[in-house]
Amino acid sequence: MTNKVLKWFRISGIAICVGVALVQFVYAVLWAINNGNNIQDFYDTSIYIASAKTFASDGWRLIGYSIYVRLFMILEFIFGKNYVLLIYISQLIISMFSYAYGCKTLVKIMFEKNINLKWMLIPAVYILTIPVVWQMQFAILPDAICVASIVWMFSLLGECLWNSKGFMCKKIIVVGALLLLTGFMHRHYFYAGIALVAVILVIFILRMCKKKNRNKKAVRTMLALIICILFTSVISNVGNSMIPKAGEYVEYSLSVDLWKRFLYPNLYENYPYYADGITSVLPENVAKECDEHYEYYMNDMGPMIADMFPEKAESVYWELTKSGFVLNKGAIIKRTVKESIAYAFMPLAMEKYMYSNGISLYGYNLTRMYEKCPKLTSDYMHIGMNGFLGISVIGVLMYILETIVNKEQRRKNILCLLYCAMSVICVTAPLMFFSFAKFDYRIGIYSTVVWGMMSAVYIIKNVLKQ
Amino acid sequence: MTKKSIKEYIIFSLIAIITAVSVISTAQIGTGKYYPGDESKLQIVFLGDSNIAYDYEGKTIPHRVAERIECDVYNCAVGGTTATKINTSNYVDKSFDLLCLYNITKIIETEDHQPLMDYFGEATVNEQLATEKMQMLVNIKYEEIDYIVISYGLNDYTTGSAISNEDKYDEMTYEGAMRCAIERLQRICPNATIVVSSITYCAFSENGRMVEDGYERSWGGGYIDDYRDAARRVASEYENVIFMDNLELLGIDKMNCAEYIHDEMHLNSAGQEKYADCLVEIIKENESGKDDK
Repeated sequence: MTNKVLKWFRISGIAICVGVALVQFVYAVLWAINNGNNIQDFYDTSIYIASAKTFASDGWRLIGYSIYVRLFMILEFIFGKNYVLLIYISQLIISMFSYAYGCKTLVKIMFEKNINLKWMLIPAVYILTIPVVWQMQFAILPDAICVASIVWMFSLLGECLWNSKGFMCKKIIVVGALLLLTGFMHRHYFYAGIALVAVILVIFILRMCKKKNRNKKAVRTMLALIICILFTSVISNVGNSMIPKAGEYVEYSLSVDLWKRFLYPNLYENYPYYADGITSVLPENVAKECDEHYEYYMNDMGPMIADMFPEKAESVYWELTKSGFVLNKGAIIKRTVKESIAYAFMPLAMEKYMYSNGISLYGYNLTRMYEKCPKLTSDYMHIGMNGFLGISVIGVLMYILETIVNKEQRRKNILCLLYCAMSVICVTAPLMFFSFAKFDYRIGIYSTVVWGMMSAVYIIKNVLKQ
Repeated sequence: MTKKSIKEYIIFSLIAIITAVSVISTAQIGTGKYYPGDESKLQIVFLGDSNIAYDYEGKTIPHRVAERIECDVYNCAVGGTTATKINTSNYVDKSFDLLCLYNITKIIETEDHQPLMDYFGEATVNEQLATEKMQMLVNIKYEEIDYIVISYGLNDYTTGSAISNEDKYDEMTYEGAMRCAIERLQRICPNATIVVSSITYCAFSENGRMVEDGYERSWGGGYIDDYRDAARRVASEYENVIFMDNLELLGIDKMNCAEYIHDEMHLNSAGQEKYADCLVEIIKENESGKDDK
């Protein structure tokens, strides 16, 4: 009886998945046709395009993605403005294969099945056409490639972790290469990649501590991961510092990067409470303007402090950052915890911010997306994210059911879930800490992909063939 | 194929189809329409800047129009807005760029005012008023709207927005933004008549003395008659679009501007009365033209 119920539950789950995925696919294609070679008007996009022409960087948006764009810009004399379409198509293909590989790895980890990659393209296409993910493929932003890289790293590191056979040298080299790629494309995704590799390293170390016999292959893996982290950090830092600087932004530093979270938008409000050392440096009117227009932090305030204190600008920045945190500790911690929960549970978070009067960057991102076809985009977003919630719920139910009913599967399920949860934390935390304290679904793209992969893999597992 | 597997396929297909239909219908969540009102009255939507948005002696221009003819009016004008798209707003800056004519016609089409709520969040009084108007705007049943009055130009003029360039649909130009908006509105409500209302007269003073008017001072984009001519050009390109030349019809000039203008730019109560008279004349003429047909 239980088997019959389970069987019909699985069939219904797959049917629902198919129903949602088909509708979503149709809307995605329609949206892509309407969008064409339109460049979504994100703030950073114009800067990446300008950098692609000048090969200079403001230190904040790294040169790697601009070089990638430049490779396609060269084809403008053949394709005209349609070279932008080639960028989008390339991002789509990279992401699709990355998500397929991620699904393949999850199937291997959870069910010990080696599935041909081509079958995993089906759930990969579903994940790709989730509206928030699809939007990034059609944007001149490094998010699509960086998320694809991180998913690939997640898969490779997962295989290393679950592999009992030996030292997976080639996979770690690829992880290093992907880390280096993100190191030249986007700082925060690089930090995310480092965090992911570091956590895997810690897991290996803990495993080593437990085993009485030291496993040479595990030691080699650990060393390789350490070299990976050090090598990529040094190369990317050195490489980025050699790129010519352009623009009026203050020079990049970690302390200034934290201003988004710790200072904005309370700088003026807290002005009376800052130490004399800060108020003597920072005029009150500058503090007011900064809170009205965030760019003033970077264009005016930062360079002003750097000019006043060429030797110790960094220490002044840290002082400001620390003061900002101390003065708003409660609110910052509360907002950060709230956002962390939102990003961890993306299917629910999107529902909240789509339908309630949540203060988030959903509106900003949506207005970039609906430039060419507002009604279609709005419908696609609602349909896609509602469908995503439905599929995630079914995936969770199936997961719980299998975990309860199937004792052999229980341990694998729990470990896999922990691995996925850990990767989401590692990737999302750096992106979140260096962002404004507003829910931004662009930060939750990786979390969305992981939710999509887990749900899709779990729902379709019974139709998977060797 | 066995009976059992055929049964499974049928049930599978049914569930997939029901799911597909259900998920499509979720696009309608939150899009409940509750306007307009009395179907026997004319339904008029006003999109514009402060001249339409602000009231004098407790009345706005739409109020004054409603006093003259049987109609329901929807005042969705927001002070300080332009037809032209001004800049790429940084996503943390509260910017009225979202409320320019070019962008609000897109908001109408989405039927979803959530982007606005996210932009303005903890809003000032003016921003709150703007979001309430936009909330009204997305909830109107546009198939029942008879007239849409578009009244922009003053803020485009004073911000020096470019009037046109070689790309006739460039939203960063006055003409381009107007064309995009009119075409979008005509797609949303093909039965409605659009009234393009030109810029109104303005005069600038120093030390209490008028020194120049809008025909003599440019803020970088052109003079007020340049903007008026641009609006006329755009209006003439479309069917079912009427042009209202306020510089001509209102008859305000250097001699009498103090009587009709409040503060260099905005129409006062008398000015608004004149405006309402002219607009109602246009509407009546159009309606009698329809009756004759």
